[in-house]
Amino acid sequence: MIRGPQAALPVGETPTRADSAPKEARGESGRVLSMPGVAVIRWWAGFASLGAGLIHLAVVSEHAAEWWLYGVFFLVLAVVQLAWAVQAMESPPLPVPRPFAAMNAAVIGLWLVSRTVGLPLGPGPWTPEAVGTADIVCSALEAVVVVLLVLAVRRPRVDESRALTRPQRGMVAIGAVGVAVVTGVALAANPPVLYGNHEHGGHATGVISDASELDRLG
Amino acid sequence: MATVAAAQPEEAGSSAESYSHVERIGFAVFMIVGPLILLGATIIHPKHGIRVNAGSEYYGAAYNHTTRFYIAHTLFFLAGATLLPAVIGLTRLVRPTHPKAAFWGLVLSAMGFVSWGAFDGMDFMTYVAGSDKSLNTSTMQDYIDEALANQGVAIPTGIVFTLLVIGLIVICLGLHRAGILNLGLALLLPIGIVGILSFLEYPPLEIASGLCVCASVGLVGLRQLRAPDVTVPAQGAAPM
Repeated sequence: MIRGPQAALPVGETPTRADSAPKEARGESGRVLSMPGVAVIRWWAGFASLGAGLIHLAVVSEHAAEWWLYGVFFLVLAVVQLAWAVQAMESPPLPVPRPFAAMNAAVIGLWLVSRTVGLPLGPGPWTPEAVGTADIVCSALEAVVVVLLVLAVRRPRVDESRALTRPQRGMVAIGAVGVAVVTGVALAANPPVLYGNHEHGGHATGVISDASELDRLG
Repeated sequence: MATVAAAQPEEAGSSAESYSHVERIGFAVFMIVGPLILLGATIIHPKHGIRVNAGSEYYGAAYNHTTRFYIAHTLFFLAGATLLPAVIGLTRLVRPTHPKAAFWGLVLSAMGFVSWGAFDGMDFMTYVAGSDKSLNTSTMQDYIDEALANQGVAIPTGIVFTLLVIGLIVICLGLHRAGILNLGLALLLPIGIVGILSFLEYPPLEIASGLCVCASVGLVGLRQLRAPDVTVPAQGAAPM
């Protein structure tokens, strides 16, 4: 459990015994500046966004093959989620928590619509898509981001310590392993493909322009 | 002796200035040339489907448009080779204010560029297969389909390519926080790189992805050409 003096230290400084004196453990209002959960929330939200971004990145080609606008949407979404994750994990405070929570909530809503009544636009309007492992995991990770960001913005504003305590490091490690496992499961269910989706059982027609050549050789 | 001793620091100073000038201009040229080569490749590249049986269409592009396929992929290969020094140049700009972003951005991108080479290796092999018209096309389509669907190839190259994307994102955030590029413009770099691989079926989007890279990296390069020489503080080696 981290206490106030570390929170008040300049970035990158290691707390000394003198810094840990109880008299420095309180802020101007006298309220203890300790907020051990803030750092863990920041890291967990970062991991969850990283996982969701990686899953979206892995399916960009697949969705671009369905419809170019799906591809653009997934590409931009993946890069934004990854960038937010990198920024969140790099240093406090959490970047744009409210807009990012709203964006993730909107993406979850879009996913729910696509799996129930179908989207109104695209190659098959109002046709619900099948639910898959990757999209369930991805939406769950986005829901985790939303919940953590709501928790973060509801807490009083505090200066977060740069140095994690041992229990905090443990919690961060648990978050990292948890997100790595579920993201791994999602990506294994939807493995990366080179140059798009692949199906066995026949060739696309008209690939080789010289059909007589194909007949002669084949 | 006194004259020689006095001349040494002056000489060292002018050589540092000279190096910083060469470094700034050199990296700026890579930042401009690399994206332009990439843009050229996206314009020339023959479109091929990324739907089901993509391997056949990929091989078909090499078979039907052999010369364009070869030129485009050679340009992609050269673009990868020139974008790596361009990325080093970007991290050099980020390093003084955001050393962590510069380090991780460079390390992850440099590792990721290896996957770029792997993709080009596959492209060159497909070009050779497509250019040899005496091969059995049916067998070759089967082979290319199998090669592209092989998870033993797709998973490691996919993971290493992801490192490139994350590394570029880290550099972009560093460029933004260092006040070199605004965030939207900076993020066009990873968006463009992923877009080039994802929009092979849509030439306008493929070219737009190339333009994204030009807009972000090329702009920094142009600004660097006109910037004053600044010596980035060097880190000495640890004493033995």
